Amino acid sequence: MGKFIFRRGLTSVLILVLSVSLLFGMIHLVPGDPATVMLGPRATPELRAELSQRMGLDQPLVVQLGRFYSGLARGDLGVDPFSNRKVRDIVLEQLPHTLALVLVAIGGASLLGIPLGCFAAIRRNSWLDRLTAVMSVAFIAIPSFVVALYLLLWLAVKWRWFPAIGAGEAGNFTDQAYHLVLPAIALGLGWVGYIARLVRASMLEVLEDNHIRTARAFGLPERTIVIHYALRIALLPTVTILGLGIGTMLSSALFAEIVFSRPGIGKLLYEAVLGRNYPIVMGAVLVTTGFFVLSTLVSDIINALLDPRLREQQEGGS
Amino acid sequence: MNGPVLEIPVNGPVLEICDLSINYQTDHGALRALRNVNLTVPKGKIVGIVGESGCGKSTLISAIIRLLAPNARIAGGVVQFRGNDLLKLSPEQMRNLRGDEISMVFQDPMTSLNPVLTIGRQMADVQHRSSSSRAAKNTRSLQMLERVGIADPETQLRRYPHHLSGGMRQRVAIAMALMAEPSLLIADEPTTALDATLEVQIIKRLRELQHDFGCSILFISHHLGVIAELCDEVVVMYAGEVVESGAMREVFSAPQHPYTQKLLDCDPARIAQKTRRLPVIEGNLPSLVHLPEGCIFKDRCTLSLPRCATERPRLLGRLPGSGQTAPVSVSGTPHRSACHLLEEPA
Amino acid sequence: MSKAQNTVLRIFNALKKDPLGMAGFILVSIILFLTVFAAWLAPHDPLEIDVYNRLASPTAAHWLGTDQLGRDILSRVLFGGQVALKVSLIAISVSMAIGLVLGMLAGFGPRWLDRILVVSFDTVRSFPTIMFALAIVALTGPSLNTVIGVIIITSIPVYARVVRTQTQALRERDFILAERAMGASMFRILRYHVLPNVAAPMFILASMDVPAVVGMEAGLSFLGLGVSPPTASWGSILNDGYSYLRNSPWPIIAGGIPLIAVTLGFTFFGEALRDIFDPKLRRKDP
Repeated sequence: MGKFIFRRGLTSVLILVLSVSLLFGMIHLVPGDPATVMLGPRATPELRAELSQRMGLDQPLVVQLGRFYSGLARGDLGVDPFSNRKVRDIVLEQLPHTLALVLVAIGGASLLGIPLGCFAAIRRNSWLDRLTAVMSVAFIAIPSFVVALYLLLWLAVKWRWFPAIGAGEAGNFTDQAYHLVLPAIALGLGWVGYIARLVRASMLEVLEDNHIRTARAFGLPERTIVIHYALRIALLPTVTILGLGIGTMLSSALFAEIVFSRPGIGKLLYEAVLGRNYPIVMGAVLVTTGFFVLSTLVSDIINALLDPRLREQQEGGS
Repeated sequence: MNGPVLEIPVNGPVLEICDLSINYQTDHGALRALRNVNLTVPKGKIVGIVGESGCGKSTLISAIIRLLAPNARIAGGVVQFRGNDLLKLSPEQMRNLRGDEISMVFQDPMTSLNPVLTIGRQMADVQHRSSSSRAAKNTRSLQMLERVGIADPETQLRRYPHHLSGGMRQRVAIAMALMAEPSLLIADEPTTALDATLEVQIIKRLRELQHDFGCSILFISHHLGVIAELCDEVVVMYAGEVVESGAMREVFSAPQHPYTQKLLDCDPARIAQKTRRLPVIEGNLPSLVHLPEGCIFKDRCTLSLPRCATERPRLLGRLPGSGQTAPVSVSGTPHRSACHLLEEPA
Repeated sequence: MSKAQNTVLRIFNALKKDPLGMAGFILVSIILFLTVFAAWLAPHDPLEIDVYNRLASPTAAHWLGTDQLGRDILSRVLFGGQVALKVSLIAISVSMAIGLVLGMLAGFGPRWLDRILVVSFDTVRSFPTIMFALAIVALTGPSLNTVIGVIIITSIPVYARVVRTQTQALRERDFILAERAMGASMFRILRYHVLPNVAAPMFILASMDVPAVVGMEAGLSFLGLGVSPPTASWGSILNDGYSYLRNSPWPIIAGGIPLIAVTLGFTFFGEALRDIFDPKLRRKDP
C-alpha cells in the first residue's frame, strides 16, 4: 500500500511541478515585462525598475523559478507588491470560504444523488428512474453561473428568501450557513444527477454479480443486500468521481463566488487577474491546482482502501 | 424464526416437481426452456441432474429457489417442497425458505462470494434469522468451517474471499449453505471449476456431510463420474426435457434412452480403447423457440423411428422391448425414460 | 455516399424511438437555424443604442426588452449565438484534429513518446480549465482568440485519449503489423483504420463537448474576459444584466435561456447518438 501511495503521489507532484513551471514560464515569457503590465503604461521607469527588483524580475528566469520553488518549499509564496502582505496569508484567508462552499455543495449533491441512483437502479424503468436519467443528463452541463444567476434573480432578489451577497457575519454560524445555500445549490445542482447516474450504472452492474445471487439465495433481506452487499461495491467508482468533483468545484466555485459576491479563492483570483497582480494569481492557481491534484490522489487512495482486491494488487507491486 | 408455518410431512419426498414448464420472453418469441419437467428428490437422498450445457439445468434450479431471470415466465407446473407449492408462496414466504430450508452452492467459487466483505461477516450474515449474539454466530461459523475441513478457521474468518483458493472458497460456500441445516441442498456444478483432486475431496466431504446432516441434495453436474460417485438417483435432461430418470446404478448400467447411452459412451472415463478422437454426439441442440414436432432428440438419434418425427414420447417406466409397465425395482425408484424405442419389439 | 445515407437513416430511425434524443435534435436544429440566419431574423441592429429606451421590459418592438444602453436584447441574443457557434466550430474542429494526430502518435509511436504525451495530457487535465483560462487571460488580456486557444488546449487531451486507446488496440493486430511492415504510411493507416474506428466516438464526444465549449466562452465573457464590448455574446449579455439585476431581470433571463437550450439540446442529442453507436452502453439505460 505504501508503495502505491508513493508512486501515485510522485506522479501527482510531477504533474503539479510541471503545470506550475509552465504557468511561471508563461507569465515571464509573454511580451511586455510583468512590472510594466502591473503598473500600467503611465508608471515612471524608476517605479518600474523598483518593482522589478522587488519582485526579483531582473534575475534570469531559471533563478526566479529556483527562488519560487525554494520559497514554496518553505511555505512562502512571495509578497503581494501592492499590499505588501504575504501571498500565503492572503490565500489562506480566502481558502476556508471556498472549501466550505465546495464541501457543502458536494456533500449535498451526494446526499441526494446516491439514494436517487440507488432507487433508480432498484426500481428500474420506474418514473423515478426515468426522471433520474433525464435529470442526470439535463443538469450536468448547464453552466453553474447561469444557475447561480437565476437563483440570485428569483430566490434572492425577487422573493428575498435568501441573502444575495456575501458570506454572512463572521462567527455567526447560522448566518453563514444561510449565505451558503444558494451558492452551494448553484455549484452542486449539476452533480446530483451525475452522481445518481454513476451510482445507478454501477449499482445495476453489481446487482447482476454472482455474489448478489448468492446473497439472495440465502434469503438475506433486500435492504441488507442493497446497502451492505451491493452499494459498497457500487460506490467505489463514485468515490473517485467525488474526489475529482471536489477538485473541479474548487475552481468552478469562482462563478458562484463572483455572482454572490462571496469571498473565496475564485474571487481572489478573478480580482488579481483584473488587477494584473501576478504573485496573487500564481498563489491562487497553485493552491487550486494543488487541491485538484491532491483530491484526485486522495480519491485514488480511498478507492484502493475500500476495495481489498485493488489494495492487495497494489501491494503486490507490478 | 418468522418463516411460514409449513406442513411438514414426515415421510415422502422433500421436493417433487410436476409438469414444470418455463419460457423466456425473447425478441424472437418465447424460448421454451423447460417443458413438462418431472423430478422427485426423496428424503435423505442425493439426486443428480446430468445434461449438456443449455439443457435447462440452471433454469430448473433457479425456478426451485424462485430466482429466475426477469424475462422468465412459469408456463405451468407445481414445485412441491415438503407439502407446499413453492410457486404459490408469497415473495416474503419464499425468501424465508431460502438459506433456511433450501440452500444453494453455486458453480463459480471465484465470483459467488462478496469480494469486499470478510468471510466471517458473510457467514454471520447468513445467520440473519438467528437471534443469537455476534459471538455465538461466530462460534457457529467456526464450527461449520471445521466441519467442511478448513484448517485454522479463526484466521479464515478474518480474510477476504480473494485470499482463499477456489477449493477453500467452495468449502466456505458449502459451510454457509449447511449453516441452517436445510432439508434440501441444491448444488449447481459445485466442483466444475476445481481440479480433479480437489473435486474428489469436496465430493467425499459432501457425502459425509449429507450423512451427518440428513439432508437431501439436488446435485447438478455434467460430469458423469462425479454423479456416479455421489448420487443415489439420476435425472438426465436434454434440451429442456427429462429424457430418463431412475436409480443411479440402473440408469448407468442399463441406459434406456439413446441420449443417455451416447452420453455414457462419450464419457472419457469409460472409453476402453486407445483412440485419437474423443467420441462426440453429432449434431446440435434443437431451437427452443421453434420447437420441432415429435421427439426432441430425433435429429441426433441414430435409431429414430417414423413415429419419432410426429409423436412426442412421454416419460414412462417400461420394460425394454415390450412396452409393458415395469415393476418398481428394488431401489424403490422407478426407472423411466421418454423414448418410443422401448415400446417396439426388440 | 450510400454509407453516409445509411448512417443518417439509422440515426433518424433511432431518434423516432427516443423522444429525448428527438427533442435534443429539434432543439439543436432550431438553435442552429436561429444562429445561422441571425442577420435576417434579428429585428434590430444588436449594437444600435437607444438611450431613451433603456432597460425596458418586453414590448412589441423589443420582444425581450432592452439592455442598459437601450439595445434590443433579442437581436443581441441571436447574434450572440454566432459567437458561440464560431467558437465551438473552430475550437472543436482544431482540437479534434490535433487530438487525432497526438493520439495516433501516442498509440503508434515509441514508448517514450507515449509516456511524454500521456504526462502532458494529464498535466493539462490537472489544471482546472477555468483557472488556466484566467491565468492566460491575465497574461494576454481579454480576447475571443485567447478563449478559443484555451479551449483548444484543454480539449485536446479528451480527443487524444480516445484515439490513443483505439490506436493501441489496433497496433497489435496482424493486419496493421503487416501494413506497417509493407511500409504503409501513417496517413494511410490513419485514413483507413483509425478514422473509421474513432469517427463515431469522436462525433459523439464533439456533440457532448459543445455545451462545455459554449459554457466556457459564455463564462469567460460573463467575467468580462472573452468578447470585447460592444460585441454581443450570451456571456456578455449576462454580464451586462448582472450589473443591472435590480433594475431589470430581462437581460439575465434572455441570456441564460439559450445557454440552457444549447446544453440540453446537444447533450440529449449526443446521448442519443451514443446509444445508437455504442449499444454496449444502451443496454442498461431505460
